[in-house]
Amino acid sequence: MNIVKTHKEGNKLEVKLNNAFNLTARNKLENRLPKEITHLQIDLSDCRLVDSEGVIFMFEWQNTGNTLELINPPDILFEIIEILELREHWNATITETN
Amino acid sequence: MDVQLNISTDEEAITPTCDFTYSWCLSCGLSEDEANRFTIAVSELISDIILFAYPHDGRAYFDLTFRHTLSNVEVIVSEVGEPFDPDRHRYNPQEAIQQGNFEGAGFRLIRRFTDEFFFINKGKEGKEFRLTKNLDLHDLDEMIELSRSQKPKEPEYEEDEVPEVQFQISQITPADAEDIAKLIYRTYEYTYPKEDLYFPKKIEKTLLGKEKLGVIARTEEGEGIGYFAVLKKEDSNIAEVGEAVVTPAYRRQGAMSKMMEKLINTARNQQLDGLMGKAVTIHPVSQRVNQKFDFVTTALMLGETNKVTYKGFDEQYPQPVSVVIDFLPLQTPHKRSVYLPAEYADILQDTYNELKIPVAPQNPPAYKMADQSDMELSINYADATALIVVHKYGPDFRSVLSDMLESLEKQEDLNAIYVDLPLDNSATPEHLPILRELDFFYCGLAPMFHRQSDYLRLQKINAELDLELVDVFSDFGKKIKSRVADEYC
Repeated sequence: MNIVKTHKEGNKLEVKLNNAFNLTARNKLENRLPKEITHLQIDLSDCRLVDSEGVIFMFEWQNTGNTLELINPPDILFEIIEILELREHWNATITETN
Repeated sequence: MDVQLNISTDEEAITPTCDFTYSWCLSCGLSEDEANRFTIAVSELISDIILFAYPHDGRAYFDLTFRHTLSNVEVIVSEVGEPFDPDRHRYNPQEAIQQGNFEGAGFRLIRRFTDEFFFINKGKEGKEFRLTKNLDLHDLDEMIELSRSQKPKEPEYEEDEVPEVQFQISQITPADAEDIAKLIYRTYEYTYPKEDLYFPKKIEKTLLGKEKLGVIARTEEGEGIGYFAVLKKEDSNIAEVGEAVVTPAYRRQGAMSKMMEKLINTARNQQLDGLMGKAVTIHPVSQRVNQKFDFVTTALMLGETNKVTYKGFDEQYPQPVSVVIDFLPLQTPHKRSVYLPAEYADILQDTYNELKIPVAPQNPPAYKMADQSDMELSINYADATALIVVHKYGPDFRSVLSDMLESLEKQEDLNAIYVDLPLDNSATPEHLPILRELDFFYCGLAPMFHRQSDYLRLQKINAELDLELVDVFSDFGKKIKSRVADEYC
């Protein structure tokens, strides 16, 4: 079970991912995204693994003019962003609550 | 112990597979961060297979094999989906940013998050991806320092002052594990190449799993002074003489010989078919010991281990170390039918004669080819060698073997590649020319090495070797060396 919680309020969707942001989580998330959503908040507090599928999804989301807010992203996310040379084009808002 | 998973191309399989991979990495000794990185590499690979390998097959399956040693972890992913070459899918960050084309991003992560990433194209047999990560031996380094500071001072004796010691030899049990580890580091400090022997738990595990058969020599006071063991091969009823040590203070009293005698008898009583040992050729000492116990040299493997500095030798040996295979049959061999390629029939027959193994050479009949070839590849990353064991020949043999070799040689600087051909398979003589065309040449006989059968071992050497530095002790070993040298030059 990759997605443990979703909450929709207006044009904002809050999602909490569990364990991994991978191909499975990406596809589930895309299926739960109504067209009116322009602000996506992803809580990654319990997400240890993020792979390129997760990163590509987030990159494409913010690059099409949408808002991306990440809560407690794991360090590995930023390592992957560096490896894929996407840092200069990465605009997500980061919130640390831990 | 290997773990093998057969995975469906259902994306729901990704997360549980990665959960297992992560736990497995941790249990093998990777740190949490490294386990996570390695798991991401596996996640990338299996996601690609699920997405792209089987576009016309709604539900297919592929295999993951998990292997680990003390020094690394390895995951082998095998699939038979559409042809594919990761080198043709290079990630381009500009295309990703400007056009949203992220092709190759996963492979870039795989390469960054592993120490080795091998792609083996096996032609019609499919593809293999090998991911490895080295284990951090920091803890071992700490143990080395600790042991050096705590190492008991060994008494130093002049040659004519060696004390007479009574010792008893018994078969080892799991309870001996700690004494064996102590014995190894008291003798070699931490220069012994088999790192597992510094970990009592590892030794205990191999003894409980019946993978190891050995003897220990103890003084009347119970102190361990010598240890000798053989490791059973996984795919045959023979064992490899692998580990031998006598504490310096108790050498020259026959402990090693007595342990070897006891070990041979124990192995024979346990119905093992034979013992094999790989003896280095930088000096003749080990070969001489083997010959004393009637081992016969059956093969010369050039460049089998990487350059090493051996304690007691002033200079570093200037090239990869070659070894001879010494073999001792333990049971009365039954007469067996073999198909000897004409080119090597003489030396193979001579080797059988030396081993006193009766054989009945057969003329190859019209044989029925298997539907497809069955070959097994193993890579020794530390020594930069690979072994391909041929179990069956199919019509695709040449293409599968060529593809495998091309993949291996393109990606890694291997010193040597060895191929084992089954001598009980009537198709072997006809397929030898294919190997010769691919620059393989004679290595020797590998008796009972796989599935209780004898194999012709060939070798292909990519390193420059000076055979004058290869010291072979026995007369028959010299004959093999001469044959190898003729074909190597």
